[in-house]
Amino acid sequence: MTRMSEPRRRTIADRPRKSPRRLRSQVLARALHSLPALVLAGCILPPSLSVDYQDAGVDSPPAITSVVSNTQELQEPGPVEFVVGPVQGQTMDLTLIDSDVSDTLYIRVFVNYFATQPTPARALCSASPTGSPIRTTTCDLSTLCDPSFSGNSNVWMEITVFDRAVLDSGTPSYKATNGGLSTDRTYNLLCVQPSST
Amino acid sequence: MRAAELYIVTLALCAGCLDVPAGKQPQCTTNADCDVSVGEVCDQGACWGGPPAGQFAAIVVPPSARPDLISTEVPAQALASDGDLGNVSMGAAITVAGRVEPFCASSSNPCSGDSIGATVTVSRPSRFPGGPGFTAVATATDGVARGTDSFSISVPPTMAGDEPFTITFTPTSTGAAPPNNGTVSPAELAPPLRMTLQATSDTELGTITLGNEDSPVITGTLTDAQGQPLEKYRVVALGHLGDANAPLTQVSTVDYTTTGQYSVTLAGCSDQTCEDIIGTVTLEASPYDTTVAAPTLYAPALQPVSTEQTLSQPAAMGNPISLAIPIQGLNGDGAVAAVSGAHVIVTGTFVQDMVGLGSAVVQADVQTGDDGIANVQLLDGNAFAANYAIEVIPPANSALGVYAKPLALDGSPIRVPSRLALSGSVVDGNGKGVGNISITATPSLRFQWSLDAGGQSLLAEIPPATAVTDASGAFTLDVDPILDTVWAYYDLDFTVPDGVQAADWTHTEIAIPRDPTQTSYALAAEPLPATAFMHGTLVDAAGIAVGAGELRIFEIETDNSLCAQVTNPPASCAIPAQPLGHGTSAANGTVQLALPRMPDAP
Repeated sequence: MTRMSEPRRRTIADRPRKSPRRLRSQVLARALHSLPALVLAGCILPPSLSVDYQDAGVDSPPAITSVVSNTQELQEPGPVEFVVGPVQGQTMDLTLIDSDVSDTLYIRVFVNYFATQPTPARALCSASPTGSPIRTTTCDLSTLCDPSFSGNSNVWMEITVFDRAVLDSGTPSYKATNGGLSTDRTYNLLCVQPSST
Repeated sequence: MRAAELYIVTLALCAGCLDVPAGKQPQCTTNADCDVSVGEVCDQGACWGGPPAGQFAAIVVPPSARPDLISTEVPAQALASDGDLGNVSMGAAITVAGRVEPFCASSSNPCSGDSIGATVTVSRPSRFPGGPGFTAVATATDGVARGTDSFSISVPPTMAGDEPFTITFTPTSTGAAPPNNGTVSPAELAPPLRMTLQATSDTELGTITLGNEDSPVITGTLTDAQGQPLEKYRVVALGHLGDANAPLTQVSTVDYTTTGQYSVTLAGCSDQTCEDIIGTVTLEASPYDTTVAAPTLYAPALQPVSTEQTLSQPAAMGNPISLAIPIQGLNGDGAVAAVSGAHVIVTGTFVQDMVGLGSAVVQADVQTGDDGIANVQLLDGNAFAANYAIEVIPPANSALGVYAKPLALDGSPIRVPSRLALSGSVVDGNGKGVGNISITATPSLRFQWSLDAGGQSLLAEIPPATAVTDASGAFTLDVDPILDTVWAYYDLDFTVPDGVQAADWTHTEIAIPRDPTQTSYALAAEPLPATAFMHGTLVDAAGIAVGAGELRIFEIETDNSLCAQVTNPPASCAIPAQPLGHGTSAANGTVQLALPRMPDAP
């Protein structure tokens, strides 16, 4: 559970996740911002249609800015509680940043993954490129908790975000990629049996 | 980026004027441009509203930077037809604090008075049907002297009509084996405790003492079939604390015995604030010597009173054997291939003939390596040899499926079946494929609740299949078509990437064709859902906007007819409320959500 790259924690931009198209878009704001240049040039310049990418051309690591379950934002190191599955609607929302805006981000959720005893991911999801450094995605955790984890306080959940596809084989097992970078968060996981109510 | 802009400006100055690219057009200029038949209105160039019909609830999750706020349930969240949710308020947190101490039994065991480590879990049923409820977990630190709290946990205040909180104190355990530094773990010192609490303001619990002078104690001996004591076993009692329908949990201290003699103290109450064990308990004695193949022993149901109980290994356990089981399947070209990364569980159960002697279970739980071999340690005696069963769960997104059958101890390969390729495509309103949509196949409630307890347990081991649509909108998910004799139903959850003007949605209860020879199943094209855009403002109790909070909208299921249509629904048969949409608030508290307009459409 080595942290492969330190996430750069940024404030989530004031950008709606999914919103209807708006007249007062950033495009317009940028056009107004560029007004002095227009005056100087005596003609109309194209407004920038992009956000601040900061893509320097080399691979930058993805970062996890927030992890939110149905009821709370998860803070390292936990403990955090999930119910032994399968549990309908047990999900986790991730907010991620990757300045490589064309990278697909691959999320793997491991439980008790140890280098000496690697185990496959118990949940998989991805964040497709959207042209923006900030992505959000929802991961299904309906079977995160195996019944054998129940009642054991020494269980660890590791959320790893890769910017390259995870290979079926290779080293480290279940985490091998062809290059690329990754970042992770680790939580003490409490798995509880579903309540009767 | 700034350099790029400068470059463009320079280029413009040098090369003359550039054409202005066509920008986005406003979606609407008047209400007439929107779908007024569903209530949409035009505001600031966009169409809002037209929400789905039904009963809805919300949960507002505060940002971690605001520890003064707490996750708040809104049991009845109105979805205004014009899309304006107004202010959605999250409540102020209150704290429940205290310290955890073991009961000091006698002067022969001098008490330090320091606290012990424990996990403190506070939970409360949801304020709306099928909701996730409230849960918070904290760790109580050990070694804290009297007079100082060892834990503090934020919770929402109890309001009129709320169920009380259930607080469970579970002493810290080192798990299967004792501490490796010679110390005694808190779980060995004190049993767990469960209590209820109604708290309307900050609450100081004082010292919570785990165990008391009247706590029942079960003692006894662990022996082999010849009556010789067993070493290196972990003994604990399992039962239901406070509620007969509560999950089966550890309800006693833990004893790591090295002599075969054990003693466990059961949870018990000395006052009305805590809850007793309901019903009987079961003793579990599991070996922790990893070099020895030995069964876990279970005593029969015992009343939660002080008593003596001997647990014995069965005769004819046989000798330990190392078995290398090849796990194989057919790959895409029909060739036999090793299955790597498969979760393999082998279980052998022996129930003593005589009533009251309990049972013994041998279990191996391993992963296959790149060679597809499952290496397990088992016992070959008659007690178990004819009773072994194997479960093989290939990794998520494998084209190979789950296998669960009896196991012969001859090392013959296990050939797992192929999964069913569930394929489809996502299209927009013009029938054009939409890429980058994430899809997850989860077992439908109808499927889950049609399985018996063993089947549901196996289902819990299977990671959901996931896929992402390609540029043409196409996707394929590999799913298990059948478990035991129960044909599957799946819900497909579609997650739309940021920037696509549509809500996430779920296609429920896709019935898998009842044809064991079928290897693929093509679904009809899945259109992007009609979407209602909603907006509101997240505020704190004082009405001040809160940024980086999360608003989650749930649909409450009012039709419980499924409960009568399946064979194994849970006792409560509470159908979970379905998450419909969520949004994160901007710095000024505004939050926008996209909700499917017809979430119940198949």
